[in-house]
Amino acid sequence: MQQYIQIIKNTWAEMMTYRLNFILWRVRMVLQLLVTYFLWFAIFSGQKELFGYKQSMILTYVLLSNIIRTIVLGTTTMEIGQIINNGVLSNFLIRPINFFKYYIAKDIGDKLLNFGFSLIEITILIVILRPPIFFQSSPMVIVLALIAAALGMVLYFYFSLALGIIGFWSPDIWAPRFLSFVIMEFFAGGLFPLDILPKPLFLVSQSLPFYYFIYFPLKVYLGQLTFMSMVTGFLVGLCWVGAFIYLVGKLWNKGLRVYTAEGR
Amino acid sequence: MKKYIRVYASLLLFNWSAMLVYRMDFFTKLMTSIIYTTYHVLAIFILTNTVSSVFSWSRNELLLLASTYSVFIGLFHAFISRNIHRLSEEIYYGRLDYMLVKPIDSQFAASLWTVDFISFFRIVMGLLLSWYFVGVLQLAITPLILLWYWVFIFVGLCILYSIWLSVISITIFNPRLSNLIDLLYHVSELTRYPQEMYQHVSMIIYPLLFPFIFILIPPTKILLQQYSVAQGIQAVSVAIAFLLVSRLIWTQSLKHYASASS
Repeated sequence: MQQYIQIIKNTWAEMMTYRLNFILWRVRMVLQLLVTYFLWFAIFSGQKELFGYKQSMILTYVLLSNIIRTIVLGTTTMEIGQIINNGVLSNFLIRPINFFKYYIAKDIGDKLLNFGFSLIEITILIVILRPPIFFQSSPMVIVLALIAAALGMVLYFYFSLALGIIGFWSPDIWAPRFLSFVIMEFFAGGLFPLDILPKPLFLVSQSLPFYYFIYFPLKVYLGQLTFMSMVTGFLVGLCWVGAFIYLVGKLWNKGLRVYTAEGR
Repeated sequence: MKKYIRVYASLLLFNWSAMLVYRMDFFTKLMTSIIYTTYHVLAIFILTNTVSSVFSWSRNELLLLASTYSVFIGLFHAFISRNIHRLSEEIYYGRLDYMLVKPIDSQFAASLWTVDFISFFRIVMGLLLSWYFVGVLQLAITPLILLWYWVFIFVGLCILYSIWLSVISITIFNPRLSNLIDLLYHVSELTRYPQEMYQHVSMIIYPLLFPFIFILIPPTKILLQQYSVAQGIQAVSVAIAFLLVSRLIWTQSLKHYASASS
């Protein structure tokens, strides 16, 4: 356990070494949030309710999506494909450390730091912009929303791992990752809640794992899901997690058999 | 001038051959390009589904703006962004020397070395969508309007190019600012929304967004026939000023290039 705590500390130290770079990264996140926020703010001007959402609901959705994005989609596993391709993976294989646990620890460090900054940014933005915000009063719903976010986090971790493992067979990892990123941006619900999509597209989105990254935790927080759809959501989400853990395990074992430590 | 045209023609040829070598890469990037364009237009289409106008732009005008964005950003990615991205890496790894010792202008070599032909699909998609929304809006497009449309697309490209080059030139002083390039990609996306959207932003941030008003709005307003000569002169003046300032920043920054890590 001690070694993984040290990895978390190392991740912080690494990020703080390049402080200005980290600040630029946060500026980028705030910029992304502001664009979405002002877009929705303008769309709602003069309207009390749109797509079944009040302005306070949608602005809460937008602001919280930034925090959820940070804890769910923030990951260091992006580098895995490159690590495999340039042979650096060998360094991990000979160490008395589990490769996946190493990245889990690294991700925890990354997410904690980004989450802290994200909270500060959102607080500052709320103070400056004074948007109408919806506060969830039920502690039970808040706990469920946190569990949904944790589910999304685990699911995205394994999803990203699966993409990185492609590196065993292809030197070109950028294209599939970018392609999945574009599809994910649309179907994860970062720009808008998925239920404003036309019915057929919404049904498609529900059948994809991206549904559980941003949209599902936020819908749980807003209390807009019925008990049944919440239970179904958690069950299907868990099935996705199970499927991805199985897939990653299989791909990893097969990948190691073809790994040649090229570049070392 | 003749020499530069000859060099650029050769570069086009090399880039074309390179693209054909990596066929898998070609198809995945092509798919990405198509999906990205669809995503942008579809997002505006969905968001404006139940409102007739946003920021005093009608729904179809906003969709025309989104289509023009595809044309513009396609051109920007085809000719400029990849080069500046490459430039930031050359500075980071201290490989800029290879560029500087070539018997051509360093800014030319840094800005126009690679061409991303796949982005042309994005341009074509954007043009087809623009053509469709021009039809929906029943706009009469004359050859003169088309000419001005392309002129102001070029003006917008000059402004955005100047911003990118100036910002990346700063990394010569601090090569570790690798996240700057990601930030630039995001900042460039600001151009795809009307400037009225940012008027709620604080007075500190709004002036920073000022040049973006002259990037995508002019060509779209020209198609909508809502652009005045005075606004046009203003946009061209901003582009010239930005080009001159970026040239100055580039030449001054180069004096501080230390070839670190090479």
